[in-house]
Amino acid sequence: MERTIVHVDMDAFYAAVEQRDNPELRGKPVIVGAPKDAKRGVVATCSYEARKYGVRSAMPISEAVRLCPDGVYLVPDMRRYVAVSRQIHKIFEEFTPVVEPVSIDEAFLDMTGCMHRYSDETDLGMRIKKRIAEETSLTASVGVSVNKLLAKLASDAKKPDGLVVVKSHQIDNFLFPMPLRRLYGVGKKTADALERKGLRLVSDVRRRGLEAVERDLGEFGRHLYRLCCGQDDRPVGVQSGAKSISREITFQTDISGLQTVLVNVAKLIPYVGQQLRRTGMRARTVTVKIRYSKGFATITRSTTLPESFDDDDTIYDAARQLVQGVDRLNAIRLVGVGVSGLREEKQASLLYNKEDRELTRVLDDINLKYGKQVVFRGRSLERLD
Amino acid sequence: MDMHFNASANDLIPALQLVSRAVSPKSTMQVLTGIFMSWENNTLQLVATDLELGIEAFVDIQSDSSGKAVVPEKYITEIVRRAPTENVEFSFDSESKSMNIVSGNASFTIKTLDPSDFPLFHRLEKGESFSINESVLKKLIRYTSFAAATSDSRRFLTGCYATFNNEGITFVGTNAYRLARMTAKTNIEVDHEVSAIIPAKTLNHLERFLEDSEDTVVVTVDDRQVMFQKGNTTFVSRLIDGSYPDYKRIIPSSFETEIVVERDALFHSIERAALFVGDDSSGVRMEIVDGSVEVSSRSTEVGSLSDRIPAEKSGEDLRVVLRWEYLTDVLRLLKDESIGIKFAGKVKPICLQEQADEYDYLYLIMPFNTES
Repeated sequence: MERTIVHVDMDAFYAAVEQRDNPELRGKPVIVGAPKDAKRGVVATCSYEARKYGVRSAMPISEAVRLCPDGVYLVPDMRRYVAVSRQIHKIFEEFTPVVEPVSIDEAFLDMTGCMHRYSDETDLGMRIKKRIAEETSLTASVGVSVNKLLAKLASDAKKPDGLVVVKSHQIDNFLFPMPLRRLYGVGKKTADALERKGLRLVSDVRRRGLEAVERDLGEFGRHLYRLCCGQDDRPVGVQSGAKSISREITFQTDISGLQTVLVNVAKLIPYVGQQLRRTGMRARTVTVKIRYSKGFATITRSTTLPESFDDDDTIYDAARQLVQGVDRLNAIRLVGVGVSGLREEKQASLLYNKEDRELTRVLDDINLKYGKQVVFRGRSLERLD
Repeated sequence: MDMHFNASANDLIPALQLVSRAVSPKSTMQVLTGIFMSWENNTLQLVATDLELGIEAFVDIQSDSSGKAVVPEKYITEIVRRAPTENVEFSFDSESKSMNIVSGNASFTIKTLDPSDFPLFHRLEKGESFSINESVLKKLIRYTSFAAATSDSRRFLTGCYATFNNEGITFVGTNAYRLARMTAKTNIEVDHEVSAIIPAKTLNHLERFLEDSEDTVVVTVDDRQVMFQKGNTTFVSRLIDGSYPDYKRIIPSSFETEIVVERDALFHSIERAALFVGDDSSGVRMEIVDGSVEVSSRSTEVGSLSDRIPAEKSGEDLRVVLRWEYLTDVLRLLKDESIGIKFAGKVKPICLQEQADEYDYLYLIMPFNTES
């Protein structure tokens, strides 16, 4: 059966929230990420005015300042953004129960079987945009098509405030002029490599044909060809187990040495643990991320434990062992800690009931109330032995 | 100055492999990645430690001098294993701090670490000391340590709680979801009851070293450490601080349902069901009705199984979901062909027992919370 999948992507989300709440910022280049004089930090979002100067997401703040010295530079106020995100999520649920949030400002909706309520896909898209505007005074770009791949490409096709519908008979016309790097899973390096083989656009791949592409690129070729045909049968809402919680710090000046890395890892863990416990889930895997100053090289190390966990100590022990296994611990500009493999705990305990987790919960409550980590375990304050 | 000794590869290899278990290859103290060697009067002492567990072994050698060195564990065992001849000759150059190892025509040279950095190996001098039959100790560990937690912020759950008194020895292991307790009815002579939480990791290393023999192992316990000595091999391990949970209160005294099943039939049925447990829960369903146990599992992504094995039932019908490994782990250990399983109720402990003249064994599994 043909599906109806919607992708909603808020326009310049953090910057738009800031401009909405502070009229003085409207019409100005707003860059959310870090203060202007920050030595480190990257652009999280920037307003469309800032994009005219060439500022882009994920760009180092220093480069943004060079391109747009008169921009307004703001530190992200995640609480406000999360509140707006929740509001938007509620709107999605008015339309369908099958919602898959991709990030704070992006989601997929599966509208299959609900279309009789709308005159057509354009009507549906307009109504979603209208509800978001009514509730939040923000604009969103919406893509409607038959699967997630096409819906996402459609929402991206006419930003900001766009609405693009791609019906099944329009897929080829829509995709053929699309550069390959726009496809999911085709990064810059891959795109460059493909271009050297004479493959720049979707149409190039389609013209060459499945056999030739597969012969040339192997398994990836087959995958790429499928994408170029607009095929994608991933369901909406089903998490592929990739769900994770993570936190990272970027340092103003590089750090080095095992002890220093461990102290910083220890600082991140209460945030990760707290967020994990708030979901009511338990995790199986701990991941540590280290980014070196030179060339932005990044490594990740992860370990899956035999039992699920939701406590800071277990995360710390696993993270410490991972860090100890890293050969090079100097000139580091970022460390991160994450947990994944989240699952509900069904196993009942022989020895402990829920009250036994009181200490952890009290710590979490204090920290939540004051909005930051006012109570630390000793290890994040002292040198560790 | 050079210091020499000659050793037999056949004597050295098992001793090196034994002490290697205590080496911590990723230690932040480099000297702990090595094996401490000290030779004197035709005897070679080998020691390794990760600061929690230390293992000491001795090997007979021919030496004309005495000396000490720390050799990297990663290489020394492999060098001796790959030695072309039975005789291996070691010479230590105290100037260059390198160890030269000659066997046949092969001559290896490896850099060594400073032995003065290596923590001293302390045998316990004080504390309560008593002897245990080797096979009894091996069995106590094998039946209980697997049930301890492998990683937990409640450190005491990563150890086995051992109690020694005049009536016998009891080991308990639990990860809070399942529990194993074995009591060996053996005569040991202690002035008063001794109890300690011994790291399961230590016990697992010890268990692999122990044999099913009637030899004697001397155990010494003080407030902080435990020592196991067999022949001239010694394990010294830190104990885990903390008070062990009062596990006795969770052993049910009455049961709603009891079954008797054939052990192998149940084991194989659970293994079949394990094919379809979702990797997020590992839950297998057991539905106990008159005359049989219906075993089933379902994975939304893969498929499902339903199976039935005959059982004698007394008491109520019951449905429980439990983690399959918790059941197969114990079914592997039990000797009786037909076994009894007792259920205290819906989300209450499941109890398996085995009793013999020399020991009592109890195993508890907590099932999943299930909505009715």
